[in-house]
Amino acid sequence: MKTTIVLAVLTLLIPVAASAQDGKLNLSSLDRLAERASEKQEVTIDESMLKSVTPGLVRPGPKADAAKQVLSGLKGVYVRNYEFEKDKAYSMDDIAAIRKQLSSAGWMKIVSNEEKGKGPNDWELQEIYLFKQQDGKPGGLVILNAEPGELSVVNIVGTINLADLDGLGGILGIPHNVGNSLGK
Amino acid sequence: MNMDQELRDALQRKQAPPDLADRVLARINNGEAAPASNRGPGSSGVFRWLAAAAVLAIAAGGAETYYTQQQQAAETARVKQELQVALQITNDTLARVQSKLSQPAESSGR
Amino acid sequence: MVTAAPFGRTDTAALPARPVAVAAPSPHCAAQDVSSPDLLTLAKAGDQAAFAVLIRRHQNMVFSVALHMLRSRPAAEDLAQEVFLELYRHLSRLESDAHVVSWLRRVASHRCIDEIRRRNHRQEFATDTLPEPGHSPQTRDVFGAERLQAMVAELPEKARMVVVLRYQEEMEPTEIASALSMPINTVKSHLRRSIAALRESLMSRGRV
Repeated sequence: MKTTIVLAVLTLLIPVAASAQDGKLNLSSLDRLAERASEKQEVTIDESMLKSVTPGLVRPGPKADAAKQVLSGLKGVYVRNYEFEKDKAYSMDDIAAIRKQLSSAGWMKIVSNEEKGKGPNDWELQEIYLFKQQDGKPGGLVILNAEPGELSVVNIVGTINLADLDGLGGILGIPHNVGNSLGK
Repeated sequence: MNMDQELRDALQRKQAPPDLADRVLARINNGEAAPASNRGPGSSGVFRWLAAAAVLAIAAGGAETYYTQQQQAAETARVKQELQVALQITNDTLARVQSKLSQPAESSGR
Repeated sequence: MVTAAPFGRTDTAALPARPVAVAAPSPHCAAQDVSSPDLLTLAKAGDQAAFAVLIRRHQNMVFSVALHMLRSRPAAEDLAQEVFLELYRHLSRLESDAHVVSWLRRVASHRCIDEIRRRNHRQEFATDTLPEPGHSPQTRDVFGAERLQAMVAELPEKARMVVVLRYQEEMEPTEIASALSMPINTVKSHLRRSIAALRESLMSRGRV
């Protein structure tokens, strides 16, 4: 029984470590925040889903090749976006598990803005991380925006950088400046 | 840039077609405004589209092909919608980050 | 932070009074000199001429919401017709002109959001807008306004709806929250993020 428990614990731990090592975050710690959110948007698109629908996603056009190339490098898109009616619905402690993963090897913080004021609700955090694989190629990125009324965690896995998002967004009908000013 | 004023200008009310009221009354007099128990907004148009697509698909390759194609199209549309949502949130978040970074340094407290 | 500064209206069509506990008669009547309570009473009694006046009083509002959301005149005209047909079906439940206005805003908003989602499912995206006759000569920068309209149309449907109701209808966040059955913090969040995204988009395109 003890052995089983130990193995079960190890099994639980390994995916967390492995996920952080391949550019993919384990976002399960955010599930309890989802229960408190007044509005939430959760997107989970893994590699198999992307591959099965890529041909139908890109319509012919001048930017089709660029968008297909970006899509072919994607291995997953994971978004958690929560809005909270009450300002004290969550705190920085609730996202500690996420930030701990981002402190592991391979992750580089390229943008950080943290503000703390006098009041308990007077704080906010914006961070962007890039994951570099052992061969030096990009393996993922994370964008984190946290403030008392809302939390956004974006994790895009694959050989993508911020500038690539622009080409992809153009094909999918998103405004053409995603990542423009920060990705180069 | 006064964003509020620009948005007010851009989103001013526009003139509706002058015969809009007449067209509505014509449809009322044709019996279209009678309460329909299960009709949702636009549903008759959707059903017409689905019915036409079903007839064509069944004629071309059978109901099973039609069902598979519909499933695949629906899945593609769903994933595309989710990708759009994901990229929009990404865009919003990046815009927020950029906005914060471009602000002059503030003393503690907002 | 979105401020609640009062806006100035430029629309010259008949405008309803701001929603109040007791509806005041509208100061303008495009077609007839009929007070709002009488107009609604007549329309509810089946007077089609009175209902036509009611439509003309509010048609610019409904049509403009649809146009800014759907970016297509034919689609906006169709949707506006559907909204007024539904108004005809629900007249008996409405008590005042203010009630009519809030009802129209709510129904037009939800129908627009539903239509956009339906189009997304069918992978239909409006890439062009028809030229708009009667474009207000008071717009200071026609091309800038059209570009901003196009950017607003790229926002997700709920955020787009919030922006349209705020800047076209000058509704307060609490009114928008009520119309869209959305928490007030969510409305404010949509406004804040949308404006930041639009500002960023305008600035980056301006540099090109």
